[in-house]
Amino acid sequence: MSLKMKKGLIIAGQLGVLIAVYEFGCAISSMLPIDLPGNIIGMGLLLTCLVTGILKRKHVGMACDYLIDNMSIFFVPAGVGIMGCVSLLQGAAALKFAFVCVVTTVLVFLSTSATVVLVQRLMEKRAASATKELAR
Amino acid sequence: MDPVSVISNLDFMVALRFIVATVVSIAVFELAVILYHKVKSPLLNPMLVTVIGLILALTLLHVPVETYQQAAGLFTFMLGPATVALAYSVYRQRKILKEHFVPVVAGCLVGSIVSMVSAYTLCRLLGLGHDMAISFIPKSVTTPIAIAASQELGGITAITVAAVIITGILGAIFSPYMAKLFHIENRIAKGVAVGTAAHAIGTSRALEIDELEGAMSGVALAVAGLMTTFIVIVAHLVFQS
Repeated sequence: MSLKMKKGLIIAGQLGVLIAVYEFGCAISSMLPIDLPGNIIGMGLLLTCLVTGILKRKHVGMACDYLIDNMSIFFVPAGVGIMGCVSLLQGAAALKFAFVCVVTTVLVFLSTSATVVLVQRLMEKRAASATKELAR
Repeated sequence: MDPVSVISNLDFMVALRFIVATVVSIAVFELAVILYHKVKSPLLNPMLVTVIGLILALTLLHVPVETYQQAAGLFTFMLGPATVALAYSVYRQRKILKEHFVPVVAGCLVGSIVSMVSAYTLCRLLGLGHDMAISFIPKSVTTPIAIAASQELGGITAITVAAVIITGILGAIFSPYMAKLFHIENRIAKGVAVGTAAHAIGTSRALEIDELEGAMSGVALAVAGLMTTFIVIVAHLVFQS
């Protein structure tokens, strides 16, 4: 068997594991009283399995890399679907739509990164003053 | 239509459409990736190019969008396992995440609140209706979460999906420029900001730039998604009573 084919088979098997984890997440999601999607629960499940060692790198690693590398293709049908709501977005509405998308994206990007940097600095300062106290 | 139901209702036309839509989508995407690597401009985001190419093809061939969307169900289905796979990149960066846990979660929380409040306020200021404004509230989180949140609030699902996808593409294309423009060099801050602002589409771009940034973006996409879900549920309960 060629190496490429072997790799393909391994990825296919690992994909099966990931799909099983996802389906399990969906099953849990349908039992929960709140609307938490199965993929987010599945993500938590996989992380738990990896941390606890139930699943190891060799069980999922290659398929994960494969899916992550090609992730944006999975959004293509949803993207094409935008065409379906063109009738809702004509003229001024389309401009407003685009404006809101652009402005909020910039605002979220800035507020998030600023918060991360600020909290990091605050924690560093506190840690530094704590060591100073100890030194005294 | 998901692959399981395709196999269980083996209809020749349905199967043919499924195969054609899957093969054509992959082929167009691969071409877009080749173009992207040749030209090396972030403006030619492969997903954006693929979507535009497919929309042009469908319009020229007079194929209804719904027909394509049903036939291309494999991709929509695989979005689930692909999101689950992000746990692996988080796992590989677990040490750094542990060290910076508080700043990362704080960033996601502030970003999620800013996203929801600014989207609703801006829509209302521009004179868009309540239904439209509500559909924009979950625009920064990944599609499955956004759809659930939008339905909970009573928004228009199609508008939510459109806003989510456009936001994702904008974030993927412009996040490196925004980081440069506002002098954000901290890789953790950049990653968390991309994931919170532009969910999985932004994350796929962040992973191209740098593994750490990508992993932080993956964490942020999950945490921001969780926070948005909880805030929406709480807000809904408060306004109902």
